[in-house]
Amino acid sequence: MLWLAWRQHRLQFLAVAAVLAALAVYLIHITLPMVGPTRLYQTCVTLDTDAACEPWNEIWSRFVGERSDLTQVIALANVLPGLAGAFWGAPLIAREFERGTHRLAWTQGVTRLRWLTVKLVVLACAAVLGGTAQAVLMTWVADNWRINQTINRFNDRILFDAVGVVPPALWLFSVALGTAVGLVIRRTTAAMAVTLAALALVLIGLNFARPHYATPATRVPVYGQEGRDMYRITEEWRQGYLIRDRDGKAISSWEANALCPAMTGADEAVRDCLIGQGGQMLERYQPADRFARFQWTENGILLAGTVLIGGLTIGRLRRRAD
Amino acid sequence: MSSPALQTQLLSKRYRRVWALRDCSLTVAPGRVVALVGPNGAGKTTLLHAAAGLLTPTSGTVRVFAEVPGTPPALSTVAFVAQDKPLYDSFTVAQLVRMARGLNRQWDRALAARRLAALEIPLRRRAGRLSGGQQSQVAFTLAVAKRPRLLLLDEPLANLDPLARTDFMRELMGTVAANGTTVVLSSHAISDLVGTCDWLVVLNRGQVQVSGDIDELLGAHHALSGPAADRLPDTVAVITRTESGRQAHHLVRGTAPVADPRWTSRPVGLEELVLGYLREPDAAALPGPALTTIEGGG
Repeated sequence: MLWLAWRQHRLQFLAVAAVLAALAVYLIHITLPMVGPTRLYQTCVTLDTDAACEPWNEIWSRFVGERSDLTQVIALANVLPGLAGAFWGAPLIAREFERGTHRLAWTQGVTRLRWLTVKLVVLACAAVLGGTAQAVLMTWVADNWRINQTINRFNDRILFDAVGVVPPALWLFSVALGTAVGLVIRRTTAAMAVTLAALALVLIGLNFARPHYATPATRVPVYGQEGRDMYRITEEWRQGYLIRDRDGKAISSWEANALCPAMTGADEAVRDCLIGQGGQMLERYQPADRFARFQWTENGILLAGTVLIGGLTIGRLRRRAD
Repeated sequence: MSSPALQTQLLSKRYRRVWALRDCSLTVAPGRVVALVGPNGAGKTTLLHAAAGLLTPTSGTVRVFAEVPGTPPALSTVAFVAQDKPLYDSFTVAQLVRMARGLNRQWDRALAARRLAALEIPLRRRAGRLSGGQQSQVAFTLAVAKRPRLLLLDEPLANLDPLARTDFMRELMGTVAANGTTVVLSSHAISDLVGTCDWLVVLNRGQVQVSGDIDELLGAHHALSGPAADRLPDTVAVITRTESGRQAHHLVRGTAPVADPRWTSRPVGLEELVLGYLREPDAAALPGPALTTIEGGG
């Protein structure tokens, strides 16, 4: 049965592995030159002395805004779990029905339950492997590119799902989703397309849900950092402002601008003007150290979804073959 | 007495609004070679799929050697070859054999090797590149090498040429006769089944119309021809009547002779018998319980 699973899916495994490898080669190629500078940056922020920061001070400005299109390249990484769902999950059952080979496979000495369980376990192992490889790669890329100050894995909707502990769960979820879609639709090509569309919807849904994983922290916004703090890059997630007038009523930054005219809306002068009037201006944000908590939350949601969808699929196929 | 190889009780299957099988009750004793015949859409495939565990009945029950189809004991005793002889096209013949060997507890390695060699099927060729006849033969080999007690074949002769059909039937029967395997095979081509099958099941519009030992059925029916203007006595059980010119032809059940010398009586062939019943789907000629219950053994 293990041999059968490998024999039937090896091409799809290799295809997805090839895409992952091609992406890896490209990303490693463009990221390797950033490894040295990143090390200088880390030395600076770790030791936090003028001497340690000297080399970094000289070069940091060169990298600001460098390859600011990189997030789009990184977005490609999020196609990978989609490919796993479309090429591994969707055909698993759909192709058997489409070709009529389920009548061969399910009339051998092995029950459908066992047939599906073994296949899903094999695909799940491959998904965890692929997802982990993607996570390691993308985390390394994000670590070495944040010195361009546009890479922020916490507030970037797409990068968030491409790094850390989320990818293995996302791959697993995608494979489970594809398998379930294949059981319902039973045409390989259609099932693949629907899997990709459904996964996109789930990711969009997660993006809407993500800000609510934790109540944002607030702080009085600080403008213009001094000294070495200027170089310190924090990957925190800024979620906008909480502005109140002197009566404590929440107002928009447009209304704030009306109260404190000639200002641009939410900058230092508005802050001081509002506070001077007895109002309040706070910035809402998720501190960088909450990143892991957010990632595990998303991971948990995806794993719960995987178990639910996988369980329904197994139950349905075990009960009936038609 | 051992349990029936295949038994259905009031088996029904509905696809949306269409009944593919309706209240189908059938018993097949072990060792029988059953011809399952009927027009397209009569429910032959549905019945075989139900026995193979590939579909869930809407109502009624189906058992193979008293086990529920699709459960481990049933899977290990039943082999099924679907109508389109499905194989994984990208697998070589050797890989298909390896797959089936791995998926079945019982596997006659020598039988599979011998059969494939005798048929000169190249083991290294991908299934998708075999001829239709060779694909069928590979599918049958996978089924018989499992050494099933019940072999279900859906239209096994469909994509074989006439010569291959005869060879196939003879060879198949040789393979299964040695093991006492029960065979249920469906076909439109009734003439191909003569001489190999010993039990007839006629399915029509999702219902069992005839189920009986072929020799007994043939012995119990005959054809009567006579003047179309005459009426047959009421004691004769007419199943169908067709007219050609001034002659009327009847398929009748029972052996009651007609005294009138203008009537001639002759034995019927299997095809004639089946067609006679199929022409009259609601016939009162539906065989009674006497024909559907059978004595054990074959």
